[in-house]
Amino acid sequence: MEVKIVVGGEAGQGIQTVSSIMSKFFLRSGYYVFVEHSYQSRIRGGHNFTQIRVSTEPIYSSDGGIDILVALNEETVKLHADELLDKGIVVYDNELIKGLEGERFYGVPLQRIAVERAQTKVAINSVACGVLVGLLEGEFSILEELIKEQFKDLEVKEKNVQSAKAGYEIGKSKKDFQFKTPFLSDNNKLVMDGGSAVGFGAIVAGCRFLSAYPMTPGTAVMNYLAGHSKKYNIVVEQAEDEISAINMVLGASFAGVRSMVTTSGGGFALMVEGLSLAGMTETPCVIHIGQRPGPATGLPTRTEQAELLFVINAGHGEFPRYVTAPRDARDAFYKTIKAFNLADKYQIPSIILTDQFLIDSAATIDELDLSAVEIHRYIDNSPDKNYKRHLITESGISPRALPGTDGVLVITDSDEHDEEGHITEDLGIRKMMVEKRLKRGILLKEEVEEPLYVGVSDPRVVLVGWGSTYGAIRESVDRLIGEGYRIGLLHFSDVYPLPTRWLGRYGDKRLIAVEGNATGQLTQLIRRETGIDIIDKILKYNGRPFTPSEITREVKKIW
Amino acid sequence: MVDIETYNNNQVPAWCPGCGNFSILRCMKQALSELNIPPEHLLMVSGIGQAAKAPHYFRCNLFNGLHGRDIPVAVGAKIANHELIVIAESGDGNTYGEGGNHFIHNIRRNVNIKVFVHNNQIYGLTKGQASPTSDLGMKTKVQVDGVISPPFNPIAIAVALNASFVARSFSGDLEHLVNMMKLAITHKGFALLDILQPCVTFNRVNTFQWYKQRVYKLDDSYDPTNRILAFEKALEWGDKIPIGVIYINNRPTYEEQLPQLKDGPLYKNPITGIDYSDILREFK
Repeated sequence: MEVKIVVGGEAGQGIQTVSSIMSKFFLRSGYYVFVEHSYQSRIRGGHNFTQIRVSTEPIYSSDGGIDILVALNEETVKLHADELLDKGIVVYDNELIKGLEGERFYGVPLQRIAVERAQTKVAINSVACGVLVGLLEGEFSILEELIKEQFKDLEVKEKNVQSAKAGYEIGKSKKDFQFKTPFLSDNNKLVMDGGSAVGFGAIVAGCRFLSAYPMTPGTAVMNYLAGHSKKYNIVVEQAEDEISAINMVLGASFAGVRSMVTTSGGGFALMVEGLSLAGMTETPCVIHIGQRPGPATGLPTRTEQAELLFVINAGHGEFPRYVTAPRDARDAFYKTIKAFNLADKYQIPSIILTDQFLIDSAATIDELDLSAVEIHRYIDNSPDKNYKRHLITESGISPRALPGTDGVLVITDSDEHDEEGHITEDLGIRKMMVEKRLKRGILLKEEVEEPLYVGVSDPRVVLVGWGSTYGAIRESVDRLIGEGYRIGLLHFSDVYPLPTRWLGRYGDKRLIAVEGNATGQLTQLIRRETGIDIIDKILKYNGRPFTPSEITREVKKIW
Repeated sequence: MVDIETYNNNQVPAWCPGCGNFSILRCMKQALSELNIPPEHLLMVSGIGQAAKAPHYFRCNLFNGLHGRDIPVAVGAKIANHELIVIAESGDGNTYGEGGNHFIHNIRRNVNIKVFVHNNQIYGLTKGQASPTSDLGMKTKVQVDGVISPPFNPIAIAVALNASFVARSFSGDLEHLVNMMKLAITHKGFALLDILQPCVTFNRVNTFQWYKQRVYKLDDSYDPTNRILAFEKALEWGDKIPIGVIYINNRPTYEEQLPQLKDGPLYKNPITGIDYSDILREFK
C-alpha cells in the first residue's frame, strides 16, 4: 500500500508544520515515509510544497503523482491538479477558493474551523492534519499526542487538538475514499532529514565548535548544532565571512577541539585557501558542503551534484583529503562520524558532500546504535620532550600534541617547514615533507568504503551513482528487476580517494551513470582514476531531484 | 621563574640588518619574561609578512597561518582553550589590508586575544609597495605618482568600534614598547597594539628619525577611558603622533558570555560516554 500526499501553499502558511507532524504520525502508525520539501528563496509568498510519500514497504525517495493534494491556496490547485492519480482528490478550503467542481474536489472550510476552534487562522495546520488523519482512517490519539508535543502552552495545545478533532470528524465522514492508513504496529525506527543527520552525527562525534557564515542549504547544520549548543557545550560562532569560519575552525582544532564548518559551494570557494592551510599544517577539520545549483549564486533553494570535481581538486598544492557523499540520512549520520575520525587519524581535511535534496528531505531510517559508535582522537597527551609537530615518520603521520602541554612546544607553519614546524627554504626538507604529507593519502585509500551494490547477481547493465541519488536509483532498479530486467546499481558514498576494488567485479559490465549534474562528474573521476569511460549517462540539472519513474523511463530508452 | 633566556631559540631571523623588527622581538621576550609567562602557555599566531615571521624567532607555541587570517585562527584557538595566552602578531598589510574584515569584526567580538601590529607603512616581503597605512603621496614602484588613497587609521577605527583596549607604541622606545605589551597582555579583552616601526630598506619617508621627531608619550593626565578624548588622539597624525594607551573600555569578553566555557576549557570537555537519548527522541 502506498499513498502520496502533497501539501502546497505560500511560504509562511505552515506547510513544514503539517509535514513534520504528518511524517511522525505515519512513523508512529508503523509506516515508512519519505518527505521532500520544495521551496523558493523567499520567506513569505511564492509557491512551496511538500510531498509526503507513505508506504507499508521501505521507500527511499519521492516520486511523481498525487493521491491527496492539500491546497492551502489556489495556486497549489492550478500547479498540481494535473498530477492527481486515478483515485486522487484535492482537499481545499471551499470558503476561500471558489469555482472548483467535480468529485475530485473535496472542500472543507479549513480556515473557518481554525478560527472557530482556536480563534486563530494559524490553527489551519492542525485542521488540515485532522482532515488527513480522518480521510485515511488513522488513529486520532496519535495525532493528538503529536499536536500536544508541538506546543508548550496548555491552552494552545488544547485549542489545536480541538481544531484537529473537528477536521478529523469531517475527514472521517467522507465516503468512498480508497486510501487507508490504520495503525499497524509500534516500531523503533526514526524519521530524519539529512541536515539533522549531519548535525547529530557531528554532535555524537564530539564536535564542540562550529563556525559558519549562513548559506543555504548548509545553514541547516549550523542551526542544528546551535539548537543543541547549551545542553552539549557546543560553541557555534557565526563568522564575518567564510574565510574567517574555516580559519577559526583550524585554530580551534589546533588547540584540541573537534571542529567543523558548514556551507555551500560558493562559501566553500572562499574557504579554499584555508583548506590548503589545513593540508599544509596537517590540522584536522571537517567541512560540510550542501550543494545547490551553480555557477555563482545559482538556484539557492534547489539541488544539484555539481561540486564533486571542485571539492576533490580544491586547494593549491598537493595534499590528501577524504570526501564522502552520504546516500541518505542514516549514512550521513555515520559518515559524519567517520569524517571526524579520519580527519583526526590522518590529520587531514574531511569533506561531507551533501545537497539541498538530502538536507531538506526526511525519511524513515532504522534505529541508530549509538553504543557502537567509536571515537578516536589520536592525540599524544604525554609527548616526548624532543617533540616535533611535523616529525617525519614511516606512515607520514606525526604525533599530534596540543599547545599548552607542559614541556613541549607545538609549532606549525603555512610556509614549508622543518620537523619542528619552523619556516624553511631547505629544498631537501621540502621534498621529504611533500612525500610525508602524501603518504597519508595512501593509507587513507584503505579506509574508503567500496560502493554499495544492489541488484541481480549477474547484471547486464549496472547503473552508477553517488550521494543523494541513491534512493531514486534504487527504487528504479527494484522496479526494473520486477519487470524482468537484469540490472543493478553501484552506488558510491565515499568518493575520494575513489574506491577501486569494485572494478574486479563490475569493471567489465555495461555501465550507465546517473548524476545530478550536466557533465557527468563522477564519470570523469572514474575515467581519471581507472581509465574506464562510461559512455551512457542520465543527467539531470534543472534543480529538482531525480524520481524513480524518470530514471526507469530513461534506462528503458538506453537499454 | 621565566627569564629572557627562556625565550631564546636557535632560529636565525631573515630580516635586513637594522630592521625595527629586531627591537620588537627583543621587547616581546622582555615583556613575556617580566610577566613570567612560560613559553608552553603562550600561543602565538601570525599571518604572512616580515613581521609575521617574528614568532619563529623565540620559543612559543606557534600557528603561522595565511596572509591576513591570523586573527580568526587566534580566536578559534582561544575559544578552544581559553587558558592559553593568545597573541596574533603580524604587519600592517596583513592586519589592516588582507585581514581588514577580521580586524573589524573581532574588535566587536572581544575575544581575549592580543593583536600586535608591526606598522611600518610599507610592504616589505613583497618589496616595497604601498600598505594601507602609507601616507598620501608616498612613491613606490607601483604607486609611481604617489599614494592617492588616504591612509587607514587603525586607532580611530578601533575606538569607533568601542574596542576593549587600544594602544600605540614605537619600536625605537624599548621601555615604552615593553610597557605597552605588558598592559595589552594583562588587559582582559581584545587588545590592539599598533607598533610604529621603520623599514630601513623600502620606506625612505617614515624613517627612524621621522618617527623619533614626532612621537610623544601620553602622560598620566590623559584619561584613556574617555572615548571622545580617545577619538581626538586617534585623529592626531603628522607633526605630532601620540603613543601610549589611547582607549580602554572594560566590557565583557566573548568567553565570559559563553555558558559553554563556564566549566573549563572547551577542549577538556569529555566527548565520549554522553547520553544522547533525548536527541534520539526528537526523531521518533
